[in-house]
Formats: sequence, structure tokens, C-alpha cells
Amino acid sequence: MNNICCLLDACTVINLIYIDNDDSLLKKLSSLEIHINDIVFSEIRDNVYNRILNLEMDKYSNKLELRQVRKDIDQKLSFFRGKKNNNQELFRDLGSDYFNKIAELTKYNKRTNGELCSTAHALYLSRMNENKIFFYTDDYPAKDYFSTFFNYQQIGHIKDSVDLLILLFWLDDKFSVKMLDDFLSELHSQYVTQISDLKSCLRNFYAEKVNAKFKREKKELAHNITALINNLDRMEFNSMKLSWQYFEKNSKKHNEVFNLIKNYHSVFELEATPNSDTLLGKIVLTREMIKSKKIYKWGDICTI
Amino acid sequence: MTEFNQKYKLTTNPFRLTPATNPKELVWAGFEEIKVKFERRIERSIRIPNSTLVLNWGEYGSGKTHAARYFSKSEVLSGLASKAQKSIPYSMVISLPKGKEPVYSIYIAIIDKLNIEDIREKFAGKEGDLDKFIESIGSNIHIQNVIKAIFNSSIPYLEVKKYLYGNMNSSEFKGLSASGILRVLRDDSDYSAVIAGLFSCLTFNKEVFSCIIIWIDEFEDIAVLNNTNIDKINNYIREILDSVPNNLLLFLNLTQSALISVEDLGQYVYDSVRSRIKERISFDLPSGKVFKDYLIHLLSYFREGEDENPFFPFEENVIDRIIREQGSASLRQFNESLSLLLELSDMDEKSPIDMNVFEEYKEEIIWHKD
Repeated sequence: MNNICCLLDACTVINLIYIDNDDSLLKKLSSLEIHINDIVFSEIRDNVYNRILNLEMDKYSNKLELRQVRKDIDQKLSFFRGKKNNNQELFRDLGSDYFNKIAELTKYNKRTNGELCSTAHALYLSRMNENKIFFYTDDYPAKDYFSTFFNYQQIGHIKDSVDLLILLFWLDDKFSVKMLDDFLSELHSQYVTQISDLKSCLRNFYAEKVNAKFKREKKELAHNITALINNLDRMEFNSMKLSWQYFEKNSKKHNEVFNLIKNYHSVFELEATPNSDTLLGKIVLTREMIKSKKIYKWGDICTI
Repeated sequence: MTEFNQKYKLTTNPFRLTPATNPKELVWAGFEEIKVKFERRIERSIRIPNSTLVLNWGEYGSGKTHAARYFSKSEVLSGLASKAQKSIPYSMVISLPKGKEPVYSIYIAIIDKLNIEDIREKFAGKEGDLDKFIESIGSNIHIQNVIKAIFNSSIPYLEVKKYLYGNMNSSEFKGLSASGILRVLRDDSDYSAVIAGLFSCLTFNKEVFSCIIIWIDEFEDIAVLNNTNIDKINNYIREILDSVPNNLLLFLNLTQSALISVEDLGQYVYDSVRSRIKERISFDLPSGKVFKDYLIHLLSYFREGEDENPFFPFEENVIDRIIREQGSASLRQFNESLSLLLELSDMDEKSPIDMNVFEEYKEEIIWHKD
């Protein structure tokens, strides 16, 4: 094992679980020192099946195959369960309000979630082991938010699943460019499938429910649904954050729509600020670049 | 409160937002040019032995799914078939699957729509010739036996359907062994071979069915598939066109979005499939004149009684204003505005729908692009 210390966020783990069809990624991950915070693991457990719920509802899906997919997810989950850090040790060393202190320090005003706990956990690991930590998350707004803290405190770096795949690629002689492209294609497919599913769920809801009476009684809701559909269609992810905030704030009042969109939460995390890089853009660009620009492995650098 | 039909001289609100599934409500209004293109293409396939791939593209809500459903109506197809003096086509609409096994999903969608009882009735008396023909299809005896079983009335049709779905338990399965069916269907090549064989039989000598028409709706979802499934879909389309070389008309409905436009098709559809696209039918955004023609035609289908204004209950200047306000918009967006305008007027008992009524509801009905 090398000494690269990686802390994984829930969205990254869920992505890894879904793109790894033959367990080959899990084997490659074994070469890294992997940590997953306890809170993050709970988030993984709560959300890991969301992506197959739609397939299970689809009458044209192969149900036997889906049962197998569930089993495979469970198996992969047990690999990541083995990487889970129990927060008890951390609380014993630093006090049970450690996460709250980091939230105050970073002025993070959202609820205590996986990204906050991972950031706090990364600080702990870096100082305890005197090592730089790579925190992998596909939540671009969180990545953007905590980067300043990571940099200033010299904890390490915040990276995403594309970076992790490239790291695994150069670490392993047997990891071919074709394999890397296939994993990136699968990762892209994971996100755009969710975008497409969410868009069609909302369009169906709109066509079936939004008539004149609905528009008159729930004007703001109708407007927000239309805005979200338009942003999904144009893939303007940053603007979608406002929609999420609206539906989350009104989750009780409009629980039918909120229940519909909450399974697609990762779609709302694709872009941090207006016109900034998106994970999807990065996947497309990387797939394009690896066709012509080599990523060097140990064996390649002698031939540069 | 005045009844809707008395007030508006319409049987119901004609501006439905979901494509009609009831064949009676499935009407074609206006857009004569596109209609003729489809009629010609289908007639050609009814008449001439060939297999053709046609790409229909346009924005969301431009009428592609509606066209698929309209041209799958049996009376529309019978009309085209009798014009060509041939038998009716066998037509169906399926959506491009997004799951892990697209070929299996397409197979199940086709089996779902397969009415074995009806087919056996139509092929009664032709079984002998058909069996000989089946034996000439490929070299896989197992697949040949499965196809024979579909047409063989001595095997209960529900057993065949159960087998095709892969739902048979081992004791039920033994009942099929006398027909030479000794194993289950298990992979994509089995599923493709059964479908190709079935299609070839259905169009045997163009006697019972003149051709097979498959509409693959939501083909834009090919952009959400991974490398492996893009491969599978391309190979499947190529294979099915090769295996049913004389009698297959395949329509691919593609909705343009930020994810995929017709120019991006090359990234997802291989040359081997793209080169077989014989025609591209574009569902353009309607011009004012095209939309007004459509509207007159549509309202006439739902008209109850008579009115000298073909746009009634709308005044023509309201329609002109909506066209101006909407700018270039899809048919769905126009329909949505008119549907809301009609419903709001109905709720408030307003008729006819003149400029004053429009001004009152304008903010609620105009589709804002932002």
C-alpha cells in the first residue's frame, strides 16, 4: 500500500459503487489508505439504493437482474463499511462538540452533514498522522466552500471522482485508457440519467397536475416547477440550487414535489457558482483529453 | 353555471398536454406537410420490400410522440394499406430503455404488445408454409422452435407468453420439451434472434402484415447511456435491420436538448447505423400561419354545433396576440397557453374569449422562457 490518505464523501462512494460493474475498482482502491467518516457512511446507507428505485418501478427492467444489482450494492457497501471510522475516538480526543466548532470556524450554517464532518475529520487525520489528506467529493458547492479552509490550514486537497479515477489509473499498470474511459462514461451516464429521469418526472407531474385551478391556487409552486424543468433542460445547474432551496424550505407544504426531487439530490450539486466548472463538463473534457494527451504511469516516464 | 359544451361549442378541452391514448381523441390537425411525409414513407414500406431507418427530430413538445401514436392507429394504417392494396402493417411504439439491459427491455416491450391469440387467428391455415420458412431462418434450431411455438395453436398461448417472459417454473417448462424447447432464453443474442424471427414471420410474403413499423420514442436517451449500452443499442438496431432486411420501418424520435442535438448524433450512433438513415423529418416550431391552420382544424374535430368564427370560443385577434407574445414556441407551449386560457375562462364563466379576457389572464397563461 502507498501512503496516499483518502477521505471519501457519500456521493463519491455511491458513484464508485454504481460505476464499478465487476469489482475491479474496489480492488484498485485497496491500494489506497481509505477513510470514511461515520456520518458520511450513514448518508451512503440512506441514499445508496435511490438510483435503482426508478429501475425497480420500470416494468421493462429485468427484475432478476435488479435483485442481483441490489446484492452487488450490498457487497460493495460492506467493503466501504470496513473503511468507516468510528467518531468515538475523535470525540474522545477533541470533545463531542468538535464538528460544531469546525462549523463555527468555517461559518458553515447548514446542518451537520457529511461534507462538514469529512472536512473536520480531514483536519484531525492530517494533524494526527502528519500527513496531507485528499478529500474526494462530487458535491461541487461543498468542494468550493471548504477549499479555502483546506488550503489555509494546509490539510491537503479537495478532489472529485474524476481525479480519483485518474489517480487509480496511474497507480495501476493494468488500468488501461479504455478502462478509464469506460468508467468515465459510466460516471457521466449516472448523472445524466438522473437529470433525464428528474426532468421526465417533473414534466409528467406538470402535464398531469398543473391545470388552471392548480396554477391559480399554487402559483409559486407552478412557477418553481417550470423554472426547474427549464434549468434541467438547459443544464444550468447553478440556477437549480435556488429551486432546491425553495422545495426544501417548503418540503412539508409541497411534499409531493419534494419527495419527487429529493432522490435526485446529487443533480443539484453539480456546479458551485455561476459559469464555474461542473463535474459533467470535467468528465466530458477528460474523456476528450485522454484520447490525445497521455497520463504517465511509472513505466511511461522513461519514454518521455 | 353553463355547461362547458354549450358555452364553448366544444365537446371537451382539445388542448391536451399528454399525448392522447384513446384512439378517438387521437386526431391529426394541420401540419399537412409532415403528415404527407409520414404517409409516403409508410406507404413505401407497405408496398416495397425494404428496411428503412427514419430520424424524426425536433424540440420537446413538437408532436413526435403524437405522430408515433397517430400513425400506429389501426384505422390510419388500414387506410394507407388499402390505398396501396396491401395488408396492414404491424406497428408499435416503444421508449428507448435507460436501464442496465436495453436489449432485454426492448424485447419485453415487444412481447408485452404481442397478441399471440390474434396472430394465430390471422395465420390460421398458413402454418405449414410458415414452418418451412422458419426452418430457413438462421441455423439456431432452438430459436426456430420458439418461433414455431408462437404460431402453433396446439400449445396454449399463455404458456408461450410465460416462456417468452422467462417466468416458467421447471414443471411447466417440461410441457414445452415436446416442441423442442429445451432451455430458457438467456442472453441478448437469444432475445434479438427471437424478435428478428418473429418479425420475419409476421411479414412472411407480406400476406398478413405488409411490414413492421417500430417507433423508438425518447431516442435522445441514448446520450445518457454508458459506452457498453450505446454499443448494445447500435448493434441491436444494426442486427434487427440486417435480420429483417425487407419489411422493417424503424422511426427514431429524437428530442433536442442541451444534452443532445441532431448534430451530436455521430457521438452516439455509429456510422454503420447512421448510414442507414434514409430520411430525417424535422418537427419545426410552427409559424403563425401553420399554428392558426392547426387550430382551426383541431377545433373543428371537437366542435359541437356551429359557429361562423372558426376559432370560437377564441376571437381571432386573441390568437394573433398569443402568437406574438409567445414568439417561437413549441406546439405544446401554445397548447398549454390555450388550455389554461380556456380553463380559467370556464372557471370564471367567460365566453367568448376576447381581448379583455386575454388581458385579465395574460400573466397566468403566457409561457415564459425564463
